[in-house]
Amino acid sequence: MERVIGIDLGTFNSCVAVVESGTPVVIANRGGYKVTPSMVAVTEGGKRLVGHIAKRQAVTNAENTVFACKRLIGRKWDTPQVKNTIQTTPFHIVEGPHGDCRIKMRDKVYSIPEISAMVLQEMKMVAEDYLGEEVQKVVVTVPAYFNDNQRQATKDAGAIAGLDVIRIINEPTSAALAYGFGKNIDRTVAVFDLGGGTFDISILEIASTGVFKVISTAGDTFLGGEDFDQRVIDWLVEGFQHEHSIDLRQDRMALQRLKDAAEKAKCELSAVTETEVNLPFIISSARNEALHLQRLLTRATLEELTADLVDRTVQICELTLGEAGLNKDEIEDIILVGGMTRMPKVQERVSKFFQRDPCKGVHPDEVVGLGASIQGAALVDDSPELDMVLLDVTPHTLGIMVVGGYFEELIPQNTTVPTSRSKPFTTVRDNQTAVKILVLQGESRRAEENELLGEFILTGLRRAAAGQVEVEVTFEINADGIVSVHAKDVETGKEQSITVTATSGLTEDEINEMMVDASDFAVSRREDEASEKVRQEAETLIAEIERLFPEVESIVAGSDFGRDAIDKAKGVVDNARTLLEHGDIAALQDELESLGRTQRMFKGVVGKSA
Amino acid sequence: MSEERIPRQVEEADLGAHSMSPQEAFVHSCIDGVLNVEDIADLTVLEPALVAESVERMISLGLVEWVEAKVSSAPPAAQLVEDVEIDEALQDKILQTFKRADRLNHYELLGVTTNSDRAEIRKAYFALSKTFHPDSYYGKRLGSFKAQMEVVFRKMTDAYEVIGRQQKRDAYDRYLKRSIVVSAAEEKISRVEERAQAMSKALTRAPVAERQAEPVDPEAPSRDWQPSQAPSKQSRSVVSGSPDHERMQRKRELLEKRLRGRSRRPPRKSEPVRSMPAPTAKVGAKTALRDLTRSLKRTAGVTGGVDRAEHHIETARLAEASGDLAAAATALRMAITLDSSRSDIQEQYRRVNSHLRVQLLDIHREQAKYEEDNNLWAAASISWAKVADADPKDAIAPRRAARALLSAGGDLRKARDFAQRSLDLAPDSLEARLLLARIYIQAGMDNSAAKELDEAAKLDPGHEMVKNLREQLAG
Repeated sequence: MERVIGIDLGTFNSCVAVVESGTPVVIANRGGYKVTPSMVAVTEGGKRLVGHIAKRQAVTNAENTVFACKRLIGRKWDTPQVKNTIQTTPFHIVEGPHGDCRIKMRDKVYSIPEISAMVLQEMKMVAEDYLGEEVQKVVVTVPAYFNDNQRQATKDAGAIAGLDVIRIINEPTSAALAYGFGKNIDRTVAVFDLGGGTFDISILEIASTGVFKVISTAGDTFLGGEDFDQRVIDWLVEGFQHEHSIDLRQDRMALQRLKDAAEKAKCELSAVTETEVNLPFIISSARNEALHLQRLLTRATLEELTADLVDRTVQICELTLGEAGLNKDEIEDIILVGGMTRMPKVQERVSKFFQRDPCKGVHPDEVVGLGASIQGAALVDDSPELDMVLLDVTPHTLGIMVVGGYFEELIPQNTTVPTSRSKPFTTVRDNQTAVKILVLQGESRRAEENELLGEFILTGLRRAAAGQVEVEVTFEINADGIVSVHAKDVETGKEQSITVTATSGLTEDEINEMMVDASDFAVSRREDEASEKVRQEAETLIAEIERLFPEVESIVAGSDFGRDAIDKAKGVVDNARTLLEHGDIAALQDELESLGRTQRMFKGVVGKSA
Repeated sequence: MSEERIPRQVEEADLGAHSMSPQEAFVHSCIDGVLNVEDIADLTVLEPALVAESVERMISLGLVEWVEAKVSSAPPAAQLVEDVEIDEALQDKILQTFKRADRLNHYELLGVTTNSDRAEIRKAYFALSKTFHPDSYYGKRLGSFKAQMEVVFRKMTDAYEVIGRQQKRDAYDRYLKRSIVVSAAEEKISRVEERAQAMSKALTRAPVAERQAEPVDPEAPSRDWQPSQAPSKQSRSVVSGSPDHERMQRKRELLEKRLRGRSRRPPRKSEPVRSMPAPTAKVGAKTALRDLTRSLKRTAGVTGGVDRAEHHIETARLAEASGDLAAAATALRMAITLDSSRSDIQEQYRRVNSHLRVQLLDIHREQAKYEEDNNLWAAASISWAKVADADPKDAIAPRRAARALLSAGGDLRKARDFAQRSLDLAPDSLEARLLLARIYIQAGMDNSAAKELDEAAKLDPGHEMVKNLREQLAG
């Protein structure tokens, strides 16, 4: 049986673990550390450095030291998140040929998966040193809220590193796996994962039989420890500017020193209530005299600076609980993951929200990597202690673009995989012979605000009036998380399908462009089934009203009120008839209510007189 | 029904290579893989035995083969010997669950009961997940079983997501309950005519004959009829769901006892029973019944008992007030049987009955809607079939039934029948025609599909879809 390692590829730190004789263990690197910084640098001499060694020279080689590239993986160049990142990083982010992001170190341009691959390779070597054998297979974790492009890019990184990524799993799920492994518990747990770069919350059911079922997951890929650091940096920079009228952000080396100091201060404040930030000779003044930065930061100030960030995590928790249809008191355990959960304020807010103290004994930096190694072993190992199965969900809604640039959902978020769903669509123009299926992922009603995963065109449709050609679109996600989509002309059975493996995709401009001239290829949600229901309901009601008509007329015609009601009923029926003939289903739908009222009224009249 | 054998043409057979009688050729031309021998006999106006004989001979020639009526959802037997790395017991389990999944309700699919609590349901689902999630067999060769497992797993997850969540479970329970109410009502309706007839027979025949045949039993049994007894209780003992024979027996007993009860009372000289005419062969059953009814009424009046018909009317009134139209209709129907002279009961019966039909139709439509919304296609096909049966003029319901059957991968023969019926009601419906063609295509009956497409072409000669479908058939 081949060994499978688990790698927690974190924004700032990575961790590798393996299951040895039934016990998951974290593997320390050559320096004896259990976590390795996710940093890559290229020296002046062109030497590549990864991990601690890269981190140590970051201050002196800030422009050629890449960190937190996880924030860029699978992202498009012209997104606000990337723009934001460019402003706050000392290394060079450039636009790639497919609208993606690249990183320039020295004279060479690297893709993001290439950078991640260097980190993965380092982790692979750490494992191989420890195990004394070559490792091929790996389970890599990603934030639950990663979309498919980000997952695919992570897989690509694994391939570049010479690894076979047998599964990508979500970080909070992985943490729950490590937490529940071997514990023999039946519980509903919440995993609160606030790492360096991302925030995730997942709710799971753990069964003593070794089943881990994710109920709901949510998060924010741009909310993490780095944002807390940034608040401290801003506070330091503003204070310095106030004092010396110099903007430290303009100096890359100063910025890097500030970053380190801010992170260090933040970490220290988890243990003590105040700390001094001391950065001598941070910059030279206009008069060429050396300036020092020295400031006292209290825990209270830090909490004040970051209050809204903590608020946001709690808001997301609330949303997720709602999504899962659970009450706070149904959560039996809270697992804290990620370095940021060491912050007392975070712990306090989480405890307050769930009205329960988080579990002790879970190492927030190691638990994700451990979970990944457990999942890897569970897949390939048949031994009873590893007889477990992970039922994960799709974190984002999958769908296609329909006419008008709207997003039509096929597989809703938090659907347990493997799964498949179909929906019928129709053509929107007369004699339209092709449809373009744009596969999208996201929660926005507008297609362009969602992530494009892929596209394909189904051609050779029969010529017919608009809305007459029916195309059935099926989305399928298998146990490996691979999304495949196929579209089928229902009448002719003609089929077209893709396996969605988008890494580069298209830029927003291209999508917008596509939306403008997509009318030739557009599809609309097929109204047939729904409209037939409306049609039929209307027909039934009309028939019923007309059947009762003579009787009702004979009963109520004597009174003015009665005649009035009869006229009104006639009007309602005639109107509905016209709408039926014209096939105006939307209007007919609105009319159903008055039809129903008339029918009930008629029934009442006849019933009373009988 | 599912055991029914149907002849089907062997596709690769060479007709020219064998000598066939004109009769055999005629029969052969009618074989389409859906019609059975009886149908073919109807079609050819030949004796069924002759048709069977022809079919058997063509089978011996290898031109025709028997197939089972249910051909659609069963995977080919070849899958059973697929080279996979899971044991046969598991293969069988997967296959069986895959085949049955659509017919089971959520509780049945997870192997729990409607009374099971959330913990039990969760336990059951988790246990099944381990069996059916493909990850449990990671790296093993699963062949076509993987896809089947994924389907089964999805359906179990869907079931769990419904009955594992209180709100959804409540809606689903209401849905299931409606199903039970409907089938109970339908059961009542389907049995009431039978009961009414048995009652008529019993009324016209029993009393006289048995009164003469059996002497009065001096020791009255405990369930002897007492005039003071609560009417509802008595009524229940009459209408309880006993088998026909027993019911008849009891009916006779009751009538007998009633008469005996009268005879035990202090004698009155003008005893009404005297005026009861003994029915003879000359007197018609109807007259006899009317007379009997009259005399029974009088009997009740004399004995201080309850008018049986009136009693049923009262039951009906209460039932209607409580919303149980099925019980009301049943009671009224029985009342009519007991007293055919009153047109007001008949009118009331017609009214309640028509309300009941409307109510059942509404429920079926509602059920069908829930089923369609929740992808319960097999169930939806049944609901639509009921709507179609209740409203023979509705062209939409049979079409929806056919569609649901097609979506459910259900009995294509039934789907064909429904589509055909929809088509009979709306012969110019291209949609129904094409649905029928699609059903034939699904069943692999290209000839029949082609015929339907020919008809469709007559409706709209230039229709592209017809052309495309024809091309598809040709290719």
